[in-house]
Amino acid sequence: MKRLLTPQRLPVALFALLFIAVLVTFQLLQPSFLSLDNIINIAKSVSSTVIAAVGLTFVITISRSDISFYMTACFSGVLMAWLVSKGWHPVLAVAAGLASGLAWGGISGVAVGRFKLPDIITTIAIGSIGFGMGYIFSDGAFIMENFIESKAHYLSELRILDVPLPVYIMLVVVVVCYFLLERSKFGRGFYAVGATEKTAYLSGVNVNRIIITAYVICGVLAALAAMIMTARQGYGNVKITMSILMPCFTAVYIGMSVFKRPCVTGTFLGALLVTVISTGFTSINIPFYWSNLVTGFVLIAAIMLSKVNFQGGRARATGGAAK
Amino acid sequence: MRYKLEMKGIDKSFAGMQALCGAGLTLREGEARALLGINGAGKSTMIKILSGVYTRDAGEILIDGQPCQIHSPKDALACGISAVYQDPQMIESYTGYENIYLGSEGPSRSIFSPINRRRLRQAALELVSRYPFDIDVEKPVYLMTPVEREIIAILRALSKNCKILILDEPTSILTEKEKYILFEFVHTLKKQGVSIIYITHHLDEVAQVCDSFSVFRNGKVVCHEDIENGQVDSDYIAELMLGERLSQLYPDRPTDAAVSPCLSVKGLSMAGKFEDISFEARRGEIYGIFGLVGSGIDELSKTLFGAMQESAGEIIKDGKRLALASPGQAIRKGIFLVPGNRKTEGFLNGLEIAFNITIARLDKAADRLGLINRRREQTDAGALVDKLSIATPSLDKKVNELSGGNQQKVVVAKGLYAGADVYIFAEPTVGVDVGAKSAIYETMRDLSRNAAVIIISSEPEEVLGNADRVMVVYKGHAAMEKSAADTTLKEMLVHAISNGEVTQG
Amino acid sequence: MKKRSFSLMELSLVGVLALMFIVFSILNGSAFYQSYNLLNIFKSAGSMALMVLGLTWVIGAGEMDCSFPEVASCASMIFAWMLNQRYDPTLCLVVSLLSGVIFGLLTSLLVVRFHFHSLITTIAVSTIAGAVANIIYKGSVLSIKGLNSTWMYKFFSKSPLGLPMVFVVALVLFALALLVQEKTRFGQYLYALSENPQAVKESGVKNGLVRTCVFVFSAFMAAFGGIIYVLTVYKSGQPSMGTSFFLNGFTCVFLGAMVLKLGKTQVVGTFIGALVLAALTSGLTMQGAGFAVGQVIKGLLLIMGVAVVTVYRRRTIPRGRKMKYE
Repeated sequence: MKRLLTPQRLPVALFALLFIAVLVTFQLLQPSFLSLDNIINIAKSVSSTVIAAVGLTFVITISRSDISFYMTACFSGVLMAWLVSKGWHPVLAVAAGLASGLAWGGISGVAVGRFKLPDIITTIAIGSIGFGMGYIFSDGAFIMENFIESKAHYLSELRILDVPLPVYIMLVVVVVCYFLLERSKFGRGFYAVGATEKTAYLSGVNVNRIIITAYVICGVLAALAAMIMTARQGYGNVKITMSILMPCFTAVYIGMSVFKRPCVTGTFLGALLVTVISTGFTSINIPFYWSNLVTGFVLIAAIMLSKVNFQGGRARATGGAAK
Repeated sequence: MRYKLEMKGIDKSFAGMQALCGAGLTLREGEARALLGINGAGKSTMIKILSGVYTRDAGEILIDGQPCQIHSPKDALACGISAVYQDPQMIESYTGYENIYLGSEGPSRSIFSPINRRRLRQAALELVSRYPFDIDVEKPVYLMTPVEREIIAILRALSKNCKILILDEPTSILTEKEKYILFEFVHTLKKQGVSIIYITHHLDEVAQVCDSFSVFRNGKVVCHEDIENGQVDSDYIAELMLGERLSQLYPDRPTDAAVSPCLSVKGLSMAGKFEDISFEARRGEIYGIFGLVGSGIDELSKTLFGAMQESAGEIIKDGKRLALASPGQAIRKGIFLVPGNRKTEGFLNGLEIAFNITIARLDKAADRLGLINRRREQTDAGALVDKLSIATPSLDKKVNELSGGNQQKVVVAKGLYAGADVYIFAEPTVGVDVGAKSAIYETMRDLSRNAAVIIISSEPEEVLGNADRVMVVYKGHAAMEKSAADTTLKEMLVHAISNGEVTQG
Repeated sequence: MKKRSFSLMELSLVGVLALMFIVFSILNGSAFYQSYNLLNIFKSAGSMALMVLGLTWVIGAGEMDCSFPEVASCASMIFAWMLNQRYDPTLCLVVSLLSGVIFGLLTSLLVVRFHFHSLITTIAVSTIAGAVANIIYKGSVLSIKGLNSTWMYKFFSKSPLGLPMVFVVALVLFALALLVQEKTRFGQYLYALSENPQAVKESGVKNGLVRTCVFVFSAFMAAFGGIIYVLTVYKSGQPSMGTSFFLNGFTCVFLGAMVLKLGKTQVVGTFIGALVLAALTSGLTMQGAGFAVGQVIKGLLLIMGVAVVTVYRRRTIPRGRKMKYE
């Protein structure tokens, strides 16, 4: 018994208990909650949050913040819809959207990594520029032309073996990013930069390239999430991802509280919990703002928990100063 | 005679490592006492206990004959003890007088009480007028010269009614002219009855400012003496500082080592830090570079590793000129640096031992797809942990949770894992216990069989004890280069603290 | 008194303001200068400036506050709801301001006591505040009956000296804030904290109290700003009015950092920043420029402000020799 519950596993077990408790509660309140249909539904709606949050994980791993991704993603989403309305093939439009996400992430990354501008405020500025540019295509109006006709909505609605496409995309993103961040030699650089930047540099890690890469990944994945959400709505809307900032941060921090460091697996579980809570609330007809309230407190609790786990880390971070 | 300050039988140990053992010290009113000793001898532990940064394990502190409890910097301040360190903490954009009175702007403790800058300025001017120098206290600190910052820091201490002033290497970054200003200041303070503890490596200063000196060695005070007629015998003091000859700590030099040239450095310079450094490090031997803290040796080590930009000169390895753009490139070219500051440059905070060991050569731990082979990583890292006998329950332990010696061994293990032809060890044993020290020295000697090893340190003993040839750096210049067999610690020290001219008075 | 010479860079924002007036008066002719337009500029500058007065100090102290827009929305909803319940207007005002104080206390509890990162904390607090704002009236706009008869509405409809009341209130409060910033220990420690927290701690200052005050004041001013917007602009409770303040608020504050104090955010700058932003918005609207252009220009201004400040700071405060990547 003692072996099973090591200090590392305890938070995981707690998380599992909490997750089951949430599921059971909703199941009792709404008997159709755990029906196959609804599970697929949850999986579909969790996919965009997971994809964007996994991107954010990279930036949090290098001990920085990105407040631009949810705004620049709006640009990518509406760009994709606009290109489709101009008769582009949806696949090309999606590729263009991803490229735009890459560009926005690159701009943030270069500003923060190469030019050492302060991360938070710089990304706020870049995000607003991105969001503002999103208005260029339709001045904020919905872009519906040719969207359904060209089957652009398949990005969200196409079902393979009864499972929607975004779920597959999400799984691919999670698996690839898991190997990239947690298993590959490349991923080590992110953790190293996040831990002690100078040491990382003196160990041969190209610090600036790592920073830029993290922002680029965050930008691209946020763009992908935005396009999936656009496809789900069936038209281009510039405000498409304005609401994902909070769930993404919450997901990453829940992951950190469970696994003691930012990681793809943790973020995935965190996003799952957040989405189950919000869809659960919807399924029992409680409006979104109540679930926001709960998510806010969950986030605070998650940070609190991650602090407990990081105790050893904090003591040394203050180091000699705290005698 | 009543003493202003008396410290008796002070003991202090860190994680089983005895830093001070029965150390004592006395100070009369208006006396300036120099604390001398090589790095790690216990001087700084002593003053940190006095200023409340550390709490002593045993012993007592008497002020004016009264025992007093000092458990925090606040307590020390209340007892009239202030310390001014090498690089005083300042609010850069604030003026001198604002810094002097930061936190004590007025009698009220309320944070919303008004600040009367005119009064503060006047108080500061009045304070300054008691001393023989001209300082513009209205200038922001970031525009001040090092000596002015030092003076502001001392004034801050004085404004808090300081009776015992600790000066920790105050002159390390000052020019000769600036030193003179500071010395005048210290003389005036003495006349006003302030007692001063003066820590320095520079013996000429001791003669100029101090009335007495105490020499620390291995956590003990080996000598208290008064200075008469402003004369200090630097030979005598160097001997006291070093004590017995080199101990068993250092591995024997092999007699049969095959020596071949490897890295040669020609006229390497960095503006303002070091100039025209040339030497050749050979496979089969250890090359030692000794210089005091602040003499440019830290920058030199990073320049050799491609982390800092040289302004002139060249680095040639195996006949090929290297243009190193980054440490990553240096590692690929077979150079590895164990950097001087373990905490911020040596290990990765909060990450595991195995992670730290493999970070500099990840391709060795990864397969063709670039994925880390955890099993191989664990085996390789485990072998190095065993080889260096790093004391840890598992490879998943976070490096910051280890003791200083084991942390440093992890950094060395990282270098071993990376594999190189040139190993540079910068200050390899700061804050490291004796056991780990000897293990690290052992490793260096081991490495030197197939690689060129360079040790860069501000501890003369470890340079001479390990190196086959040594260079002494004085203020960024090579002051001396000799074979280790032909020189003595005394000679090295004399070159490092006075460029070779023996100072008398 | 302190001698202060203004460097060219420190006055550049005033230059931007002047330039903007010149450009817009050329583009729009005399219309830009017509008193009603100028009054509008003053009015919106005043309300915006009031909302971010506290934010100025949060950032000045080296922390972050993303929660001010939602705290403002929440206060506006509480204010509207209570007025509709026919509570005494003064009580409504006090309670809605108190809501801001509570959010500020929550933030400071987490940041100061539990050492949370202020960015992530205020994201969480902002979500909670936004949720509460929506819960009050099920996420819809809550129009207020009988607002015109309350004393504060009448107060803010006045225009002393021909200036909008909001602007006058803002002037007075900013003058007071300037006094606090420049002439009290609070202001002294505030900026010391952002530069060298270690030095502040060593000097025995109650830095936790300073930071708590900063967060609480920021949330308080956000709530106050929210109520001002209800009184002068919306005439109703707006559960999601915050979104439009986010960027504008930060832009004001960071543009302001280009004035005086070596790139630190401070109240004079914020006030000028708010004027620049209001003039820009008005001028662009007269030009018929859309949301996109305004947003992009604001973002560019913000990033320019940050870049200039960063470069300028790096030059004036030397920090030893750096490694190549830095």
